[in-house]
Amino acid sequence: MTEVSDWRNRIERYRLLGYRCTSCGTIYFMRRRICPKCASKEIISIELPKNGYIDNYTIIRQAPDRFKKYEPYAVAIIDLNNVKVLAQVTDLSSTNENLDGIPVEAVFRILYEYGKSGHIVYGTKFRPVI
Amino acid sequence: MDRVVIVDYSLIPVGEHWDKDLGDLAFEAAEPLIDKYREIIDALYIGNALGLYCNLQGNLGAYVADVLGFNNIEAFCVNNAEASALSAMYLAIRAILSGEQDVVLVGGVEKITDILNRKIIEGLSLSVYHGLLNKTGISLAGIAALMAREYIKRYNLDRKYISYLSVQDHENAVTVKHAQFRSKITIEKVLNSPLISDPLTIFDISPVSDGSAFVLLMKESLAKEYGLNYVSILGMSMATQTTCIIDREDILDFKATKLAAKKALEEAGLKISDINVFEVNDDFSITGVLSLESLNLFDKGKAAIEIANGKTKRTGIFPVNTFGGLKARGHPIGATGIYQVSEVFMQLMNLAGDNQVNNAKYGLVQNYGGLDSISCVFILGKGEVA
Repeated sequence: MTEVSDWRNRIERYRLLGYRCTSCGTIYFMRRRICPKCASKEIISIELPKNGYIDNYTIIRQAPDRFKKYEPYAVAIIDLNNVKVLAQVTDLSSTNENLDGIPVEAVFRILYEYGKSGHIVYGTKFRPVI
Repeated sequence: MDRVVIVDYSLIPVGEHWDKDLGDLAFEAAEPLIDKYREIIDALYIGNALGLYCNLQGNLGAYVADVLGFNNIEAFCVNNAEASALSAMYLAIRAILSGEQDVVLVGGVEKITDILNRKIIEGLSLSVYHGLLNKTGISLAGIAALMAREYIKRYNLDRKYISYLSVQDHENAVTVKHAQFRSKITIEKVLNSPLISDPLTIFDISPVSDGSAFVLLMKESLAKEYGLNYVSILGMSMATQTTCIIDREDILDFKATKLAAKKALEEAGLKISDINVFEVNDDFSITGVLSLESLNLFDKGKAAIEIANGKTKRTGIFPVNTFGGLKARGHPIGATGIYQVSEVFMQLMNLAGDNQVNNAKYGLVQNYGGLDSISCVFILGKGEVA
């Protein structure tokens, strides 16, 4: 949430990384140093699948400053077959339709910008598959 | 073994205190206790979540001790997000049980309204894994909204059932002088109000609140020596689970509360059905529902309907949030836990006035942070309990 940490985490955002415990197989959204399930430290980062479907979602109508210009926007729990991730859903014609179950694919997009420094933060969003 | 007991409380109205700063709130709240007990207080424990973020004031142990006019006492600030105040009390009780301290002042203080709404939304999400907001733009209300939708879908429920706790909270707060909102609302009003994060409207979400509350704790033997009436701490526990909500096996499972409640009840030697009055962490209508289920008061998928049926009303069999809960009394984040404790204290001491529950002997307080990432559960009992 600072320019420095955004730089440090860039690969995780750009490539949609998840973290897999090589011992028990659990995949996590948050980077893990140790597996909370089996205590193994053998955790590797993996690129998550780029296609899935919407399992559950909400429409954010009061966003923090950084995201305000995109509101209202959808944030969804996306089922990628073996793991669920949280992501913003973009390119929607309307935020009033029911999005449950629709197929989506990952796209590279601007997440937010820092007004003063002009620094642009990119990441992964999902959009409906046409 | 000597128990720890609560002998007194003091609080200020919850609300938007534009003309007061963090120190003003703490001083006003603590003043009656300082006036009475100053000489015997050994230590100060203070809960606060967002002082560094909203007020640019750190070192709150020393700062609040200074504001209250203490020199050379032990002072600690505890920041466990929304569970800060009850966490502070937890440590204060541990300190007394250790034998090192006899009388401890515990409070919470939060001054949110020094910053503007959009910044507050970001501040409130600091209690969960930062990547959730940074990578997706989801707010804390947004995460609660996902829980609400999942609950509605899983149990095939009419959406309105999620919100009866908000209606009940407002009804209870009408007669509460320290409550932020003292007006009744209807279920239609909740449903027809502006959406914040679908399906949650503004009336499903606890307000932005400033506040401060304090309680005085001491050894039971000392309270008897001073001839003070008191409420006893019969059991307490705390637990954590992942702050990364999407990594939870089930987003509707408040595991931390479940474990903390089980252990606290075991310590107290009580069953959940023995409890006469409940203060639960309903920062959102849905999370109040999930809290009641994780306390095992209702089966999974049943709490929302049982609330609508009136089971949790002040006159129901399980009175919940009898002073309006986080929704209507208000939710001054790092101070909320001590408001909850004070309210159960009032119930057990028969000081609750218009809000009094009949014959309350045992009370339960649940105060969590970060949507159950960390949860404290206390069991309190009236006076001398065998």
